[in-house]
Amino acid sequence: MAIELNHITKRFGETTALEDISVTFGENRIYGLLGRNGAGKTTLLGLITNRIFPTEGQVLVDGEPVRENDRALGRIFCMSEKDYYPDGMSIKDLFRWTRYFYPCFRQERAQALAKKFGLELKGKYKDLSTGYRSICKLILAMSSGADYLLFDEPVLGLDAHHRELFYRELLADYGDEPRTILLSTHLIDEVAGVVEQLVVLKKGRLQLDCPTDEALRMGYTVSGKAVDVDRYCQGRQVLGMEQIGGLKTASLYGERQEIPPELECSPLELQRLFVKLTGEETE
Amino acid sequence: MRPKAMFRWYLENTACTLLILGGVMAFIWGVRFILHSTLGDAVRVNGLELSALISLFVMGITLFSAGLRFGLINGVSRRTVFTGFLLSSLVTGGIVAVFSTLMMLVDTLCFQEVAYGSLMFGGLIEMFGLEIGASALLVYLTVAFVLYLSAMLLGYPIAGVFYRLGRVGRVVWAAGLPIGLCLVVPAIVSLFPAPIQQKIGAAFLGMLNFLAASPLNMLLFGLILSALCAAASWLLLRRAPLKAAA
Repeated sequence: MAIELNHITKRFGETTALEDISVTFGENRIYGLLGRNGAGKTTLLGLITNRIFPTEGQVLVDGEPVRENDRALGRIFCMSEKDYYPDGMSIKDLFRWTRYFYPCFRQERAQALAKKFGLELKGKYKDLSTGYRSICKLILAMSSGADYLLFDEPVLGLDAHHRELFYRELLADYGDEPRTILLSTHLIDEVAGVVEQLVVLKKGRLQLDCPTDEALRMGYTVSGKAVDVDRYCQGRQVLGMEQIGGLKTASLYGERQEIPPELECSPLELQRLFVKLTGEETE
Repeated sequence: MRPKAMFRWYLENTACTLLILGGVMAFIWGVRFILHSTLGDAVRVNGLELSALISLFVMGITLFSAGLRFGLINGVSRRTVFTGFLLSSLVTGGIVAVFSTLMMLVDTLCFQEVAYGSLMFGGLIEMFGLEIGASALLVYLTVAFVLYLSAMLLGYPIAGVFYRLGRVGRVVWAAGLPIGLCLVVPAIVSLFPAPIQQKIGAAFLGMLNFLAASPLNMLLFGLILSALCAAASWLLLRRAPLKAAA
């Protein structure tokens, strides 16, 4: 069971949003889909959910093409960053319609989550603040019962308390009923402890696809005299360098081997690793 | 489950409009009924069927983007969105046609001259030489159903073109369609030499004569129009991307 993207390319006129992306989102795993603004994350989610069509390539869900396939699409629930729900619809009706379209929708779970997040079910969707619109969409996603949950900026507008509550509930639910979860977010340090696999996009291309702990292990910095740092960096993948006077710090990605005693080594936090990986090329 | 859910969504979203339409039609018809009973044959009301046609046309327009959006965000294919709309159009057209026919039935039973005075009902009787009675009502029911269905199906692809276009295209389409049909086409036709204009006029009259020759011709025309609109709707829908409401 997996979502497979095979050589996916998506062009909008002259602009190439995604180029030759091949990635698999396997069973029962939490993925972090990361990338800078305009990297192609939302486009990727749109292609998986049949909301837009690839220029080239194919998306498969459990071996079936997702294109115009109700059976495959019924296994996916995507929480969008944009608002697509009708403004005039009440929250109760949103829950009701989601139950009709997703027969495995857990009404009790949805109501319990609404209570925890403080979401009033009586009101209309249009009257919700940005944060509570996100909360409403989150609740629908987490209660949908779908095998694949896709979240596009799930914590947009949420305060710190609600963000923590979301991650806690997501992990609790995942522990009870493992499924494939895809989190597309800019809050990298927050999800570092949640996601098991990282998929990083840069300018429409796949930059990284590896387990989170491997990425954290492979990303590190070395600091010391510029000449020593330069000598160490030769033949290695350097993500970035900063120099103050005669001292230099280099961010590298790869196995840590034979670090000379004159250099100081420290791990690279996930957010800094992401910034280095997706930044502009260094000289 | 999902095709059923989509079909149900379309029906629920037309129900409120149908109730209001039916309520207004029933109210006007009821007032006219009471006035005719007391004042005699001085009271005539026409335009109820035309109002229903326009309402269904507008419903078709509003349902394209709303239905597509709601279907896609709930993991439904465009094929299912389209099927749901088609089925709901059949049901909606049928409901309005039955409602119109019931009003004509009461008129026929109580005031035949009033029934005859209805533009559509009286027109059908005159056109096809029918007698006021069951056969006339049956013809009225089927013609009304096909016309109401056509109206709803006509609105859908018009909205579909609008949905698929960019900002400039939308302005061109919104202004260009009525201007084109009402001004440009007649102006172009008037530039043709007289013999050609006469041929165009003859062709148009020929089509009207064909429709007036038999109720079956009128039904056939309505069905062909519905089929063409349905085909155009599918062509517009099958590659339509998801867009947020403007």
